[in-house]
Amino acid sequence: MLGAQLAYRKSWFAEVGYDAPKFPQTWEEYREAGKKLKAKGRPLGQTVGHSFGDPPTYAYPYLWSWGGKEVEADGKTVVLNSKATVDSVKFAVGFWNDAYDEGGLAWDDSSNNRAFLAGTISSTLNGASIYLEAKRKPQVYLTETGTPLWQDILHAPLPKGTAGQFGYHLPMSNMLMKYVKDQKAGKEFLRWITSKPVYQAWFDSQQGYSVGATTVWEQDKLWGNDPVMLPFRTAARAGRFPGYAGPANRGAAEVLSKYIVVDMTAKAIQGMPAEDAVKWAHDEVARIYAA
Amino acid sequence: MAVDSVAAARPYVAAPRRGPVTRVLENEHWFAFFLLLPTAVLLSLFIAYPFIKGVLLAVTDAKVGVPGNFVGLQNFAVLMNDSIFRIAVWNTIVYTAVTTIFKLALGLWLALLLNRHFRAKALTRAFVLLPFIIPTVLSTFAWKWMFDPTFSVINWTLFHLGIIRARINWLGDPGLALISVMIVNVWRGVPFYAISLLAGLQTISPELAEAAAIDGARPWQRFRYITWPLLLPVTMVVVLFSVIQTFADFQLVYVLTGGGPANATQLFATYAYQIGVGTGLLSEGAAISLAMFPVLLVVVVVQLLYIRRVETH
Repeated sequence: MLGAQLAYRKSWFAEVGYDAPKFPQTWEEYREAGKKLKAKGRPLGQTVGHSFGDPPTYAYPYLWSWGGKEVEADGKTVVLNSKATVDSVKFAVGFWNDAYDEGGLAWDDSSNNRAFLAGTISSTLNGASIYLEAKRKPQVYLTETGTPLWQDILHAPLPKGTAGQFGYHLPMSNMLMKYVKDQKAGKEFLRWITSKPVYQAWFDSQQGYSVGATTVWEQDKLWGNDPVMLPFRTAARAGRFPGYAGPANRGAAEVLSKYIVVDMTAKAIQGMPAEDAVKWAHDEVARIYAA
Repeated sequence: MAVDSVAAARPYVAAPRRGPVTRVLENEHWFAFFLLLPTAVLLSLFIAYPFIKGVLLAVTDAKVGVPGNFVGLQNFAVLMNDSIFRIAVWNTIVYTAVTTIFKLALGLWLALLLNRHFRAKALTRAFVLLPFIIPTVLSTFAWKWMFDPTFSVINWTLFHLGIIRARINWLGDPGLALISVMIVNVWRGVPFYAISLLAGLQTISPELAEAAAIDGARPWQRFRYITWPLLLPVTMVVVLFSVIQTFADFQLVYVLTGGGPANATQLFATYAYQIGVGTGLLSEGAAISLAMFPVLLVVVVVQLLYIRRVETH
C-alpha cells in the first residue's frame, strides 16, 4: 500500500496561522489557508491531469468526503449525479482559482514533487517521496533561507468534508493467474514473499513510503524512527477504493482508467458548469456500469 | 600444357547433373516465389496477422484474460455513443489537418531554400534532419520540459523580455494544449517534408526555369507554373505518408499530456491505448483503432487516384 498524505511547508503554514501540529481540518479551512498562501505566491499544488497516481488519489477521497459516490453499495445503482457531487465540484472550482497552482491541469505524477522541491508550492497530496528525497539530499534541496528543506516538511491527511475524511492509497497487488499450470508453487511463492521476515526487509527499505496491508505493521518499530513519517502509519485506515460505496470491480476500474472522476473536476475548472460536468461524468459511469 | 592437363582431368559433361532444388528454381515462377517469400512472410507476420487479429478482436467482447465471444458490431455501436471517442475523432481530424498544412508550407519553403547554392549546404541539410532523426520520445520529453507549467523556459524567456506578465499554461489550457502538441508535431514533421521535397526539386531541370526566366516569367510565376506542377506527384506522396502517420500519431501526445487535460488532446491512438491496454478492454480498443481504417483508406484511395491522374497528364 502506498500511503498518500499532504506534504506541506511547516514555516509557510505557520505564517498563515497554522503552527504545527495545527493544520487545516476541513476543506473550508484548507481553502482559506491556501488562499492566503497563494496571495504570497505559494499556492497549493495538485494535478488534475491524466496520470495514474496523484489525480485519482486526490479526486476520489475529495468526492467521498462531500458525500458523493459513483455507485451505491450494491455496485450497480449509479448515483454520481447528486447534490453532494455538484456541491463538491462547485467548491472545487472556486478552490482551484483561490488556492491552487493553475499549472496543475498539465501536471503528471512527478510535477508536484518537482514543484514542491523547487519551493513553488506550499502543500500537495503525495506519497512520502517528496520528504524522503529532500531528506536524502539535504544539501541540494534548500528553503528560501538556506536551511535543509526536509526539516520544513510535515505530513497531514486530506481535510474532512461533511461526509467524513477519506483517502485513496494506491494498492499494489500480487496476482496468480488462473491459466498458470502449477498453482501450488505460485501460492507458495506468494506466501513466502509476504511472510514476516521476507516482507520485513522490504518494509524497512521503504521507510514508511510503502506500508503493509495489515494492522500488524502499524506496531512495527520503524515508526519510531522519524516522527514526520508517522501520519503514514495508520493512513490506510481511512482508505477506500474506486467504486466505493460498491466493490472495486471491473466497472470501477474502467471509470478510473478513463479518468472520469478526475476529468469531471477538470472540465468544471476549465469553465464547464458544474451541473453539466457532473451530468457528463454520471452518464459515462452509468454507461460503463451498464455494460 | 597446364591448361591441357586440366581439360583432360575434367571432361566436358553435356548435361550437368541437377538436383531437384535447382530444377525447381530454373522455373521462373518458382524462382520469383522464393525471392518474394521472405518479404511475404515478414508482411504477413507483422502487418497482415496483427490487422486480422485486430479485426477479429473488434467483433468480440474480449478483455485482458477473457477470450470473449462474438458480438458483431456492438463495440462500434458503443463507440458511437462515447463522448470521449467523439472528442478523439474531432481532435484527430483537427490535429492532422492543421499540422499537415503547416508541415507542407514550411517544408516546401525550406526545400526551396535548401535547393539554392550556398556555403555549408551539405552540413545545413544534415542539421535540418535532426528533429526527424532524434527518437520522438526523447525530443518530446525536451518539449514537455519547455512547456512545463512551473519551469517552462519559453515562459521564462517571454517573461524576462517583458512580453508576458502571467505565465502561459501551455499544456494545462485545453485549447493551448492541442496547439502545443501540434507545434511539436510540425517541428518534428517539417524535416521529412523538406528533405523529400528537396529530392523532388532536384529532379526538375533548372533549364526549364531558366528558359521561363528568359521569356520574362517572374519568380512567383516560375514557381506557380513550372516548379509546383512538376513537384506535385512527389508532394502528393509525401502528404499521403504524412497524413497516415499523423492520423495515427501516439507517442507525442502520450508523452506530453496523456490525452489530458480532460481529454482535450485525446487522439485515436491514445484513446485506443487507454481503453485497450489501460482499461484492459482489448476489443473496444481494437474497435477504436479500426475506426481509423476507413478514413485512412479513403485518403489513400483519393490521393493515389489523384497521383495517377497527374502522372498520365
